Amino acid sequence: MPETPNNPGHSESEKNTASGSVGNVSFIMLLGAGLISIRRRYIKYYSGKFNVFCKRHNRWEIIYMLDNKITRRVFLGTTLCVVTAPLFATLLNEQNNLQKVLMDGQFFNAAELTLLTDVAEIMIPKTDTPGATDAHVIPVLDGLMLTWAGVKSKRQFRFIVAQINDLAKSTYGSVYNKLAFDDRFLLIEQLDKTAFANKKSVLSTHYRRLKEMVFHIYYTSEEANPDFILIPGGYRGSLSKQELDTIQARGYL
Amino acid sequence: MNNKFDVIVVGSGITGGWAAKEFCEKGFKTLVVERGRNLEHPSSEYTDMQAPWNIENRNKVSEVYDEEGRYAAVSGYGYFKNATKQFFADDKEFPYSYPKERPFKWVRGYQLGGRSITWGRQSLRWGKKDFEANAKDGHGVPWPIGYDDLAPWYDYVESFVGVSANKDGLAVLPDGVFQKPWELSAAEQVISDNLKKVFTDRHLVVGRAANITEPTEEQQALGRGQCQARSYCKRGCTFGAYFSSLSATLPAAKRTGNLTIVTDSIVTRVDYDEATGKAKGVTIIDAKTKEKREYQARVVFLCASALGSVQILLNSKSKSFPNGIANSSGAVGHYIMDHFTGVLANAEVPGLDDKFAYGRRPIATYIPNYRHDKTDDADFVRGFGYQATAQHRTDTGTAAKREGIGAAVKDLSKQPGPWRFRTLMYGEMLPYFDNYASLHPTKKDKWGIPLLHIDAQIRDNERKMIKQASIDIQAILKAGGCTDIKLNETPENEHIKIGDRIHEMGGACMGEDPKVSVLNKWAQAHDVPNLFVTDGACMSSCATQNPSLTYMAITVRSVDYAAKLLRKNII
Ligand SMILES: Cc1cc2nc3c(=O)[nH]c(=O)nc-3n(C[C@H](O)[C@H](O)[C@H](O)COP(=O)(O)OP(=O)(O)OC[C@H]3O[C@@H](n4cnc5c(N)ncnc54)[C@H](O)[C@@H]3O)c2cc1C
Repeated sequence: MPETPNNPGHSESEKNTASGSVGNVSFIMLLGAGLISIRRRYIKYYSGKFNVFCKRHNRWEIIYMLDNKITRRVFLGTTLCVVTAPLFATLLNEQNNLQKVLMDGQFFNAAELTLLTDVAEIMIPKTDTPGATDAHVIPVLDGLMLTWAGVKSKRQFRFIVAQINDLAKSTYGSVYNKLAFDDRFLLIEQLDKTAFANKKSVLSTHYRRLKEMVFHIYYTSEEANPDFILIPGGYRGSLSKQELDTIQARGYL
Repeated sequence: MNNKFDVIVVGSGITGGWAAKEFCEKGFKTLVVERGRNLEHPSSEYTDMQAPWNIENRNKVSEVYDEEGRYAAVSGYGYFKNATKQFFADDKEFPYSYPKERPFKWVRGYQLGGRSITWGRQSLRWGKKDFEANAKDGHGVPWPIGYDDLAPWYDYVESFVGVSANKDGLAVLPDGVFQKPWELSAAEQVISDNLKKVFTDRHLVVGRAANITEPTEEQQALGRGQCQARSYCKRGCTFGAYFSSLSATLPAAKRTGNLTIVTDSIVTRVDYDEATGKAKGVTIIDAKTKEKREYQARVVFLCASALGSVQILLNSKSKSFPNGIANSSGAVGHYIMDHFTGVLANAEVPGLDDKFAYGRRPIATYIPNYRHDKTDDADFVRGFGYQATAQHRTDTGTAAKREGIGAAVKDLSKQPGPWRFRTLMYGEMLPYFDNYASLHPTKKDKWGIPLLHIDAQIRDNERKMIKQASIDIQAILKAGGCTDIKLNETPENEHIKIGDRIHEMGGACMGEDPKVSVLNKWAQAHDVPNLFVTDGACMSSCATQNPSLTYMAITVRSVDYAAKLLRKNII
């Protein structure tokens, strides 16, 4: 019998609990090493170098440009800023509403990153909550290909990009990145259906692996877990929604 | 460095840490020999302060390990993640052996602190009946001690460890010195209350956790703080809120000034003095340089984990003990046990849609063994209990592994779902002489130490238990008020890996009779008076409770006894 990931007694609980908004957290950022104070607790972060973005006039602008590694929302003075992972510079192709990635990544080239970014955003679009692009899913995936992926995965993930392009050509007579948004959406939607209806084909297998990783990265991202509390301070097992919300707003039991 | 000590303790895990603390506090110069690397506390290897997005590889273990055939014993298990992998031994680097058709799972932690860093912290006393079982049904070697012998030592270790638990008043799971318990969730409480209405013998109680909820002065003096309900314990705890050798026993030993620790030092054998009939000390191989060294002491405590100690005993050959030290009985290596499961069930707990949980409780719940006595419906001896949990309501999950993309699918993801209660049978495996560990005749590790070959399996009695546990859990879940019961029973022809529950025990069992047992009632070798084995190897049966608290109680009791012998110059 396979052990379930939540096998009681033996496994680590990965359940994320909800907390107050990021506005409750005061950060002091130091370049290279960050000292972050959360209420009464002090947590030291050692990190690489960052690009620091600030929201001005409703647009994200880079205020420092350094080597970048980690994504974290911080307050600099009173301004909410985002310290971000390797974000790839993009240009919006207004004709087909496609974010074209302008630079090669560490593993994928620019054209592959463009396709993957689009596919990930189709899978998990921005709604009133962040989407895959906001959560930097593809930049993170690009990094994981070097630090996590084995030979087989490297081959599969590269190959699925080519397969999606082939599919685009055979369906619409054009490479994926040139298709109109509606066609791209339909293509991925159909691929998703087929991948779970006919699990045996190579295309299905590769697609399902890509999808699983996109979802894993998204749902472990800070953007997808605004309510996560690192240090809950205690456990309560029988709360009303209102009681839960009050504790979450406080950010600590 | 001086190589003469009063006491040598082999291993720095749960039992070794205790032996070191006790001897040091009693004033004995104590050497702890640990095969793994040194770790400080808090350690830079702890990852408990990392949010999910900060964990390297988003907590996925690199696929390269699988490709290289590394960590095969633990790969894919819930406790083996990127954030915890540093605390598990790689079986490719540290190989062991088993019959092809009966794989054995040996989960180890080779570092200062051993598996005390990654253990699940469920800290349960054994009851009277557990110690009486061997004598009663004739399996294995009768225990030379009973519950009453250990009771004061359970008190003693619990006070220091800090066990957060409820006083449930159950004879099968005796109460002890407890700190404030963790609370049951709404769903667990409903089941617990409902069971009381139907059964007199089946109880759902909250687990007993070695996580402190009310730090004592003693604990605070060691720098230990209150548990913050993060449940990231297996990553190490910066707050020292759960009991480990690193957070508790070793710092206590260190502050006496009597402790010496050598790490990266693999004990290959206990050296025997033919003239005195006693152990002289130990020989080690430096894990890095492969140099040999010897250390001497008046007493040797083996605390290298059950199978680790068995390996050392078997490898300690001399003129008097050609088959391994303290092995005149031929019992060393025999009666290997572990708990086993074979039934996994989960069910919905309806009617609690307005209830939510907050925080991450660091312990599950527990249904203690209620089948010590053979009843009409049982065609087996001994019994089983269940580890269980419904600490949070489920959520709707994501479409990662199912059809569906786009905004609508996203909106429906991770929404609160029903409460579900999950249970896992933990059965008592009988002590079979034929379940044994031996030294491989030809294969050796890179230090030239013969590999341990472990051949163990569950048999008829255990298969019958699985069937019954499957019937029982359905009755329990129904009585608990659950619906939509889903059951997974291991088929009879499927091998169940011993070691899978990580409660491997036996191999140097205690008993009155030196002809059939290795250790006496003090876990002292019948054959070698200054040699003690106080880890899981000394266990004569395995009961159903998680065993480490019992190992601790046995260890401190043995230290107390050995210290008296040392003072009287008897050993
Ligand atoms: C994921 C997990 C969950 C668990 N959950 C629970 C639980 O909830 N409750 C419970 O009671 N138990 C639990 N256990 C089991 C528990 O960890 C062990 O029972 C306990 O650690 C045994 O203590 P020990 O001192 O005998 O061995 P260990 O803690 O394993 O320590 C042995 C030490 O000896 C060292 N060593 C080995 N060989 C040599 C040698 N030749 N020379 C020098 N040093 C050597 C090792 O490196 C290690 O440091 C769990 C274990 C794991 C891994």
